[in-house]
Amino acid sequence: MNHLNRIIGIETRRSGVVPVALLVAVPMVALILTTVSSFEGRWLPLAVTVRTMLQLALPLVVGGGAWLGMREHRHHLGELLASSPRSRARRIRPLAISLAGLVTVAYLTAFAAGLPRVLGRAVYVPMATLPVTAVGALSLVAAGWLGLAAGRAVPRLILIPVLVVLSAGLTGIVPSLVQDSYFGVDQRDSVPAALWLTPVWTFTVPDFDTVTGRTSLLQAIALLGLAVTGLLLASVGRRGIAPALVPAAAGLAGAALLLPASGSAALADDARAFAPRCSDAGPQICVSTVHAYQLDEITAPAQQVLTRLAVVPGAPTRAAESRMDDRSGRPVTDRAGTISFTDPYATYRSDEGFSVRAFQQGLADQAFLPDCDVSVIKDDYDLGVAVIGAWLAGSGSLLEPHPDDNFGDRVVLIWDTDEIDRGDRAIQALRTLPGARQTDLVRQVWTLTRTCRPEAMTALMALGKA
Amino acid sequence: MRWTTLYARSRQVPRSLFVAIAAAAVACLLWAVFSDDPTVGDRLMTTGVMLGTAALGLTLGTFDEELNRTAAHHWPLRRALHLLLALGVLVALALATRLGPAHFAPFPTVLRNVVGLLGLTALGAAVLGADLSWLGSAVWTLVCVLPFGGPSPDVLTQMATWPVQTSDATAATVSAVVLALAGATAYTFYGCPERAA
Repeated sequence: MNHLNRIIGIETRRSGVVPVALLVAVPMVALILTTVSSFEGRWLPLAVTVRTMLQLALPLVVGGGAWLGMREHRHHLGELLASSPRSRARRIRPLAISLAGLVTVAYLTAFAAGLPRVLGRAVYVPMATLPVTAVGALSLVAAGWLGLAAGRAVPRLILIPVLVVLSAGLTGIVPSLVQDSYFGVDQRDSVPAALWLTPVWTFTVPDFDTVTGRTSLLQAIALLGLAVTGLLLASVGRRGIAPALVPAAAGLAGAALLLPASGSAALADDARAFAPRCSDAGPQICVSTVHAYQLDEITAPAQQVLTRLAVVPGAPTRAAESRMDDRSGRPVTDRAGTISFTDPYATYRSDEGFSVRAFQQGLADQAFLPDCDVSVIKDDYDLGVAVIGAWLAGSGSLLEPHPDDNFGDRVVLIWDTDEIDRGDRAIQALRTLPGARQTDLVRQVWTLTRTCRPEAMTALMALGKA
Repeated sequence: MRWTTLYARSRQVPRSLFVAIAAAAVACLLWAVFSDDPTVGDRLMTTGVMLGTAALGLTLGTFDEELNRTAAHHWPLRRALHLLLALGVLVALALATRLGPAHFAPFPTVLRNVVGLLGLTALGAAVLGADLSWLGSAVWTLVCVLPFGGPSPDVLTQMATWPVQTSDATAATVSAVVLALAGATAYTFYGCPERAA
């Protein structure tokens, strides 16, 4: 064993395995550092984000493996080494082990690059994080070994870019295109489950979902089969080719048997991720466990809105995160006396990240939402609520809607300049009124909107006309 | 003429030409099969261009650089001509795709990507040798054409993901031109290293 270790060490230093691993690790780390918002504070999204990077890493490892597999041919040593008493399998083993070890390290390095944004912020570690990461690393090992075999079989350099493009197409691009063709809420269940056979992640995982163990298991089985086949093909002669294909066939067959009924069945609801976590003092503000890292930042602005809204009759006393209603694009109303909102960091954003103003406006929108069709209310229902939102936030002007801000798929409200002027004037006029008069007006708007009266906003907007 | 024939054969030009033509043809045919749009998508187009430059990049060196250098030729001139011919071939290929069911367009974008990726390949040849000259352009292209990058108003993003920016993105054009000049200069004056990586 010691002897083998020494050879592995020499192979690692001299074979070009290190550049191949670096070629994978550097772009992966760079991509992780540029996509922080998609996983910050959450473990499973980090694991999944690294898996999406396989779109890049997997083809590169296949290409790198192929280049390593051409080594003997490249240095015209094939015949010389074939005459040595060591079998080919034993000659390739140190290189294969070294490659497997280093691509695993490269994958884990990419994962580690995201850790500073997760460690210490996430209070919830989903079980699925580990298998999702392990399968990702295993997929790189399988890719490297299959590459070794390909490079040995066809020692032509032009094979490498072709192989890179082909494997990128097969494992990432084609599955993505297939999945895109099923785009649409109603068709989510009809996405072919076979897409889960590729280790490259093409699905998005909602924060309240987890990846089932069965999904990771079937991917692991398929990848193990492919890895063993790759290693065998890299080490056997012509007569061993057929038996070498057996593990891959068996692995793929086993994985196919485990496939879920539909593409979306590979994910499952995660009740623990959705369990509420609430603020200690003041009006109660709750977020889901998976978003607990956001609680500190959103508590004060949400409490400010609740406190200022307390002047209206039957005012909500708490704010809590809920799921998104896919049809209306609004948060699902949680229970009476509660303002619901969806994932704050993802929903209420500006270019600079989380926008306190957009969040407070979202709370105002939700709080004032009547149980009827708001189109009944004439004259600027949305603008009126925006004015009230600014008042609740203590701001002197309208929130400028963010161009790609779609408050959770709702129709974007882009005010025209005339509306912005009127809104701003109304806010300033409202703020210059005596305190009692201000609360009276807000109360009036509240009562009239709750009952869906057409003139709900008239008095408020009349302020801005003067 | 005889010198040219021998030169082309020693650098495996026919094989590389075949691969470059095949790459463009496969990209166009794939697109024609799966899409009604006659313009090949920019990501597939960039991949096709990258494979073309990779194939032609293999012709930038020869089996024995040291032996070559002993010849009484003005190599820098020949190397520059070689690069220009490669550029001409790739541009001609891109234009020739208009004869088929799907073609590479818009021309300014195609030209920018051909110029930039060929320059990157030439730079690779000067640093790593012809055999691995495609490495930089393959990795860079791959990073860009995967869903991680896309057209962006941000200048740094435009520079980093220049192959998938629109043709009016100045920073992307600057990136491509800088790579082209660096590659052309390095390869013209230094050629491939005598002992490749």
